[in-house]
Amino acid sequence: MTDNTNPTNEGQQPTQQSQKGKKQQQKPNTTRKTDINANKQKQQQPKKPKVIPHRDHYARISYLAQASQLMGDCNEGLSRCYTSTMTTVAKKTVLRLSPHLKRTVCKKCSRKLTPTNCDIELENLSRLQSSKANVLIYTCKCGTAKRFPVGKKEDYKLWADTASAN
Amino acid sequence: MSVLGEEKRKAVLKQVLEDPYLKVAWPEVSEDKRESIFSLLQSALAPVKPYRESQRQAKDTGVKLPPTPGAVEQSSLGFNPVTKALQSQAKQNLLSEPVKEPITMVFICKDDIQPEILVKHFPSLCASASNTQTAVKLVSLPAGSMEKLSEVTGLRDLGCVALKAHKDFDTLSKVIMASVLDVELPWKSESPFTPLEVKSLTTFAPIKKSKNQLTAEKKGKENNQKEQQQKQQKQGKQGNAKPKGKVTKP
Repeated sequence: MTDNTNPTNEGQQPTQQSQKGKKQQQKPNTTRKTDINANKQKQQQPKKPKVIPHRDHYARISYLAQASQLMGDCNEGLSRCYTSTMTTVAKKTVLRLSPHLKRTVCKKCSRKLTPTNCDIELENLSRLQSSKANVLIYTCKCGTAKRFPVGKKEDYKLWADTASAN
Repeated sequence: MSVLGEEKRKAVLKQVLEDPYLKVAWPEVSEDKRESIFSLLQSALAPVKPYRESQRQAKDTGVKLPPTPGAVEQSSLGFNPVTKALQSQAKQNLLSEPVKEPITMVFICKDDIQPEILVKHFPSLCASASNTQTAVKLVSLPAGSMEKLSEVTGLRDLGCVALKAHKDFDTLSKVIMASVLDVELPWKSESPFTPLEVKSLTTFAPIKKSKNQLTAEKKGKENNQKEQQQKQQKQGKQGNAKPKGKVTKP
């Protein structure tokens, strides 16, 4: 191993040794890799739980989300109340909400963003109007905006959509 | 060492609550009718390009403008104009004000516009813009129609078109009224509640050791340290003692 690093060594012996050393190195490496691959394949199929953990909390959150959507246009206060309780329940019980669900809620005033509720606009501030500078903006009634740089990467997909779902 | 890092991770399932109304269905149209609708739309939008050119000439030379054709006046072209027109109509509907010249047809090149979030709001927007008297019909155009549309109208990347009721669009509207269904929102249907949907996604997480293992390791480390210290002490004693012996022996 050290022979390669020492250029002062003379004769053929050190080179032979280094070759041997290389061979010896390669063998265990390959076996390791295969082992890891096999392990990966085993690992990639974790057991699916028979019952969803904390199903009751999930059900409550989903119900609240739907209720707020239902009240979105006719009773604004109620809808906002539902969404805020939804987020607090999710935080308290440490459950994850999908990004699609989170994107429909205003972060500041917890309004359910319906197209009648917010302004939807495609902004392009670039001088040459190149499509790479397209930004989709959802502006809530309260003034907070969600900005999605849509043009930056057109084939972008959320991890939650691309990850293998069981 | 990325290889080592991978070894230490294991595959785990993470539960994520899916948006209950994620898939708001677009009204389906058969392929043949889509094509026929698209060709009709192209012919309806034909007067847009010459009018725009004449507009440009008028700006440069100061020639009087020709009268605006109905296809230009009664249509909104592009993403922002279409959404704004639909939104104002929806707001008027909410306040139950009468809408003058409502939009009746919306055409979106759904397959050509990427990413999906750009077209996500159209179904619910169309549904809230439609009235008891007039329904807004939403049509998704066949793939590759965006290029053709922008050729016909002379506008760059035209993927969204909204049309009002006008005599120029009569044939088009008749076909659409016959073949395309209204947009239906799941939360405004008879049974608004959708069942719970929890996705479980596979990710990798570091392997955590249990408390017992951790405490055992700690103890082991402490013991090792003690042993080393003892050894060092012994070595020190020996090292001190040896030279003395050497000096005394001869």
